[in-house]
Amino acid sequence: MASTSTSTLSRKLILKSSDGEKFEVDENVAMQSQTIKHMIEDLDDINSPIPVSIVTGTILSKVIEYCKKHATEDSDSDEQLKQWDKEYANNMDLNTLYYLLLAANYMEIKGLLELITQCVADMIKGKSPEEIRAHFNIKNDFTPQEEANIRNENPWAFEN
Amino acid sequence: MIMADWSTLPSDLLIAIALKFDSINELIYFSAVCRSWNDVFTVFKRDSATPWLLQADPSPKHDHKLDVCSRRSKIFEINKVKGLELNIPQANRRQCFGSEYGWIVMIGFDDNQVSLFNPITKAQLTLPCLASLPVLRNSSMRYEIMERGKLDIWEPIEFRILKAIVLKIDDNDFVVMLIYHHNLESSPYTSKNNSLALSRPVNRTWRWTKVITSGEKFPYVIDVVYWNGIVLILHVNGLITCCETSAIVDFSPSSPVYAKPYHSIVFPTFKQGRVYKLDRSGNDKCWTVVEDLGDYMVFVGNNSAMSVHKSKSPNYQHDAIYFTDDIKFFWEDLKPRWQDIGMFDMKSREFKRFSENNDKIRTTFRPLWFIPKF
Repeated sequence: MASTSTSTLSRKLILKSSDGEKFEVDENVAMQSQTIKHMIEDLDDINSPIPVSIVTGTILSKVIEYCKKHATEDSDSDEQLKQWDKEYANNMDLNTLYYLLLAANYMEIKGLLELITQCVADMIKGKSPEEIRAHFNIKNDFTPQEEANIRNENPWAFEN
Repeated sequence: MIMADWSTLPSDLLIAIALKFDSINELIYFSAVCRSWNDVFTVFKRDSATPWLLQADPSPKHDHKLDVCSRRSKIFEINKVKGLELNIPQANRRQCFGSEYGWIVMIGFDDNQVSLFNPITKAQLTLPCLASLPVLRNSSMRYEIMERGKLDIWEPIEFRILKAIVLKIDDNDFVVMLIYHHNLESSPYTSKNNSLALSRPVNRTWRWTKVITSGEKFPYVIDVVYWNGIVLILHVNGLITCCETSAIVDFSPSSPVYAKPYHSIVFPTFKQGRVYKLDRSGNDKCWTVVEDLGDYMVFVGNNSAMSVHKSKSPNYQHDAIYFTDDIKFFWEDLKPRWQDIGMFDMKSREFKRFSENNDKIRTTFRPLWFIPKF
């Protein structure tokens, strides 16, 4: 069967998260990450675990889920893939999104980075500064004077 | 897992998020959240020394929705760049001309009102109504700014604005110069008569002052370039007249400004991709062919012509001339048309059009370059 032959051709890599969790993945899945791609090039022993130092196991499993979906060029149309991306991002809580964003950036996975930044931007859109702070649990660290300055510089933005 | 602190997100990620916004308002709100997010906004502000292209949404749901395509990708791929959408109802049924000072000049088709308008902040400075232009003040003829009419020049079309140029005299002192075409003082069928007028937003008397370019030798103004404190007026026969900034600083609505011939030299026309520069070094001013623009790029079209160093616009291609379509009077004909926006690459001597793969658009809004200020 075709699928079996491709999987036997594909080498397996072991990724090790910052908290020591190990994941065995197909090489073509891991290669979605530019960072890992470069690491493999410098690696003598492909069988030893590749450390993904700043990414925890919980997050790494989510990253791998994304990479697996995007590594297989099977029957999914662009439309279906977009739908999958959307559901994937919508199922993440804020905390996970934050660490996924850092992971996508560190691992240099362009598609995932695009997906998460768009998702975060969509959350910010249509919200006032106060609502954004509340949503993301961000502390207002402006002095009252600084905050007044921002409003005075752009009074047109705060009219409504 | 440690609780995420969104205020500590690295700035390159914050920028990646901010680039996804659709409006300036979203960017401002984003900047007002906390200090680290505000720093990202400062980067955007610094970037805004780059010309933006203001164009109408090619498939408008509303007539007045205009898109600002910003500068974030190589400009000749501008159609692939998601523009920032700006809702500018103020620009509806108005002729607009860009400048490098954040302002666009807006002239109403219906009400003849003129103003300087900042499309980002929506700030507005009122200028005198067109009715106070010398030629219209002194004319007993009925006038109207033609939006729709006939292209046939034998029709008695009476008055049109060809271009508006913003001159920066001082930090907050702007003067607007209009190039207009009329046939009010002569036989409607025989002559084209172009004129210039000046005004500034703070003028109490709310009038325009005529700029007189002496005599028959200097007909039909095609453009005005403000450069190094001197206003160069280009006439259709290739002659140039000029006036110094000092003459403009002190103009009053009652006295016209006089422009004098500029070294009696004729400017060459842009033919077969040849570009010329005015060599002012010697006593004899002359035009020399320019092979390249070096680190600069030039923006022409429905705006005060501007040149920008590559350090200000790293995503644009330097040594190039960017243009917007400036087909005169196209708004008289609302047939769908291609937008003629593009770039002339000085090195390859090739034109690259931005709108090649776009559908035709149907709009009365002419695209323009301007440098945003906010």
